[in-house]
Amino acid sequence: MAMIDRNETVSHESRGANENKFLSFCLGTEHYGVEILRVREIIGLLAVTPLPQTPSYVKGVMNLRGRIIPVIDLRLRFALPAAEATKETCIVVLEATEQDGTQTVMGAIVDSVREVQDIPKSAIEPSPEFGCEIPLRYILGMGKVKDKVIVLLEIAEVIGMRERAQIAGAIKETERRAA
Amino acid sequence: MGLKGSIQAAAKAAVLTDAADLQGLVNLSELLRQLATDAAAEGRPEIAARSTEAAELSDRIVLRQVDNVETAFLRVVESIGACETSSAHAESPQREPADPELLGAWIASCESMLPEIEHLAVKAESQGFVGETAAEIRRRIHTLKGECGVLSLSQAQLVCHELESLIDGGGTRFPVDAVLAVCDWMRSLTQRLAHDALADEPDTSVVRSVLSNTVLATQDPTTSPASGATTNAPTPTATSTPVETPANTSAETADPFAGIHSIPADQRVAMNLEHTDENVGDFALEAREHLANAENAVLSLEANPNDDELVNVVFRAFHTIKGVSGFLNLPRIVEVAHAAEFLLDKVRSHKVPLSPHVLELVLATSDLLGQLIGMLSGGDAPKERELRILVRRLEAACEGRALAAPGAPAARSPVKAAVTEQSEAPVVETAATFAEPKQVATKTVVTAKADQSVKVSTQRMDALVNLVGELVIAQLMVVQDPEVSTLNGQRVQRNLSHLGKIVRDLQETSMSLRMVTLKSTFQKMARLVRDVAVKAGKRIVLEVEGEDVELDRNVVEEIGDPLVHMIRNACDHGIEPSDERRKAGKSETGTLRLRAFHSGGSIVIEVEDDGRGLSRERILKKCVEKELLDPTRDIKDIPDSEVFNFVFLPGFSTAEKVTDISGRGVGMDVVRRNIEALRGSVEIHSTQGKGSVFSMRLPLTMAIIDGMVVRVGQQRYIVPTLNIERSFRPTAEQLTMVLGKGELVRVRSGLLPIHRLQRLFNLSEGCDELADGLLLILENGKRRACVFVDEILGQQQVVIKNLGDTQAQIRGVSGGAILGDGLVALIVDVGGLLETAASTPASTQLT
Repeated sequence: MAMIDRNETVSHESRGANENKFLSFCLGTEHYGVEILRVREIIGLLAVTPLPQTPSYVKGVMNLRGRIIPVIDLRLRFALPAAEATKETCIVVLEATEQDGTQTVMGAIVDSVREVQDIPKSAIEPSPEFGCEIPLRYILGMGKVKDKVIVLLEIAEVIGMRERAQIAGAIKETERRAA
Repeated sequence: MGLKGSIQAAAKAAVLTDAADLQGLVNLSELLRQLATDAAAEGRPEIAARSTEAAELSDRIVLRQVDNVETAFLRVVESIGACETSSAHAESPQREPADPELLGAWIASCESMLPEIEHLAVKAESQGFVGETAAEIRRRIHTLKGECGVLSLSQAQLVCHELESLIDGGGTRFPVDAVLAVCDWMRSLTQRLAHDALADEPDTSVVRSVLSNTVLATQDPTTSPASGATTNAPTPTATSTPVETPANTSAETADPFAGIHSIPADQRVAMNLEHTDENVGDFALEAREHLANAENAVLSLEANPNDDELVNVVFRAFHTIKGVSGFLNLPRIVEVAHAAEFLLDKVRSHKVPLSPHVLELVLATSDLLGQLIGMLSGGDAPKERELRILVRRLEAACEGRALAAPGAPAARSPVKAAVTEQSEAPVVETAATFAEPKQVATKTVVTAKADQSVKVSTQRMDALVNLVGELVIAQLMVVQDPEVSTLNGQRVQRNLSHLGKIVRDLQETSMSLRMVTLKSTFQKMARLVRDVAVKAGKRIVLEVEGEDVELDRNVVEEIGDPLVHMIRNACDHGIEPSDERRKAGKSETGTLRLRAFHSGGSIVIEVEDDGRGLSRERILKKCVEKELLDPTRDIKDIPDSEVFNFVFLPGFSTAEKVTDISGRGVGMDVVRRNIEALRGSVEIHSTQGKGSVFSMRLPLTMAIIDGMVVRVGQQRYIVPTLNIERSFRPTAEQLTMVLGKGELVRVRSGLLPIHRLQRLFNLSEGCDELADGLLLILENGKRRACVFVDEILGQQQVVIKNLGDTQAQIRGVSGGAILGDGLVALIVDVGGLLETAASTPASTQLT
């Protein structure tokens, strides 16, 4: 009994310790961050199978150890100019749990991954009303590390249900136009 | 088997008799008196007393000396039930390990209590029944009885109970011998228990005989003992009534008065599942398999009644279930399985002929056992009454008698129809009634042996499949590694190719893990058709096709319900009764076809009957009644498919009368909802007078398909082989361009439009010149067209996976598959693709 209890405390603590950790990455010159708990893994850029009739930011699907997951290009998603892939370009596999318990796993192509940083709650400020390149609903807040500002992303919004609904809508639109 | 046999005889007689049947009542009374004699001989005074009383009561009914014959008869039946219950207790004692602390305390208290009782008994001998002493003894014994009950010492409880009744019964002389005998017996019991908490209770025969002798000596046989007064109306004030059976050791005694008729219609079988262990899950799985085997064998037996081996198969199934459930302490399952096993043993040794009635009983037993086993995994309990009736019918069948089930279903069954002249007595002699075998046959080839299987969690299985997929990729990476390919050693190359072969085999095996055939589902349907046909009094032959088609396990599980509804409908409403069929010039035997096949990347399951078909007029009439139609529309313009779709609406039934099989309008609604949940669709084709076809189209979500891997530019796609008619490289002469129609190709059967996959999928690369690539003639249902691709890379079996969590249905793509190199290839949904292509204006294709 005692052992189980201790284990639980440990996992709680580790979760607590990881809660303020963010993985930062680059898109263009801007630095972004996602909660480390939402990152499943980081893999090098693989061949992605394109899907017909999808919006341009949906790069297609890839094989993640036997599971097929969609891959989006975060640059295009945030309406940044497209860029050539470099040696540093990689796919961050993100996961989000919906309120109904379903899990979404999606790959996001980013220019490069920087580091894992501790950003305490006190260092996170609400996102500004304007002056940001990407839609507000994707933003969790602005994290200040040393003298840099990192745009922290709300992963549930970026890859979650609403996003998927939007992709589905875009596919329908393409179909309609084709017809 | 004196006592048990006579109880059974009386019980059977009671089931077959009613208050109006005087001859039956006289018989019953005789049987009851026989029972009383047997019970007295075996030292069961309480049973003897009760049966004597019941016999007297039935005599009074015959002589019309009772106010209400019906209630009086019911009381007789109840008494028999109570006799049965108490005798069952004595014969199958249940021992469960008692709490050792409790047991120790009890043994210690007995050591002081028993001498006290003995002392009191000796004292009472001089005082007789009057006075406080007798009452004191009775109280002590009563306490002792209760404690024994708590400790699950059923024999001890029974002995105490009998002694208690004896003292209650009164008499001229206090039964001191009996009390002393019981005390001795109890002492030997406590000694045994002190050594071993699980020791068996000592033999009760000696103490029993003392008890019963005392009864005979002390009771005046003409006056009923105290039990007589309380049998039918136990007064709550009585501290102990003889009917207070040693209860609760078995779940059956929820109502000690319960004869079958007195069991409330909705009372469920209670099973004590607290003491079950993890083996129960395995048992449930195995037992289901055994039952399925038994059912198959029974269905084959209908066709070849002389095949002794099939009887053995059925016998073994029940025998195994009985054995294991006994081991797992599941007495209710044992009870039913035992009765069936006993009957089958008689059939096996040719003591009882194998009649349709026996087969029907075996199937009913299998159903009931299925329900009981279902309880282990949280299923609903079957009705207590059904269980008891079934066991009785099985026992009757052992004696070669066919006992029809009481109640409504019997009225419909052919059994009843055959014996209308004696409709009041539902007993018929087996041989006479079933001289002509029923015309129900199933053409399925039934194999007695099912595949052996192991239960594995789906999660682990998926993990394995995925790992194997990874292994394949890793292996390919090693083989294709430039450094490895420069190695020229023969041994390395040989070993690598050996490795490759093993990996491929492993992959194939792992892919087939999730797939199961439709065989077991279809076999269940064979059973269903048989049952419904018998119930509806129709002759129906089921023809099964494609039971080897493999589907994902989940899908197979889900299609069971819709299939049941569709088949019930077809049997009950679709196929007409024989005379109607004869009038319509059809064969008297209706045919039901159950088919499964791959089509266009889906699996189609069809239920086809050659019955009367759906009536367009009746559906439309109903629609008008229910105001489902747009009143501005001309009824004649509504296409058949749309009309037939109305039957899927909840509560929509055109059946003139609701039978207990179908007709309430719920079934088809369930069919559609279940199939839609599987992302499938269902269609109806019907010709009035000729029959109808219900076809379910199911997507093959996890299914494995045979696909042709084709290349367009850098991309590879998988086209289901089933949709490909053929492929060819077109020559310039075959090609034509028609303005507004796009490119066409001339093939033997005429002109076909050409669609370029590159354009349909908006790919930047790909072969431009038709003569440089390949044309695939694809077909899906009625649509047929050519699709242009760069080349065919090969044929491969692939596992269909959904495209991640996009939740988006992309037209023309049914899913994805992971190819050997680890990359994803999209699987072409030919139906969707051809539809999109056909609706796309030719001009966009020409650009």
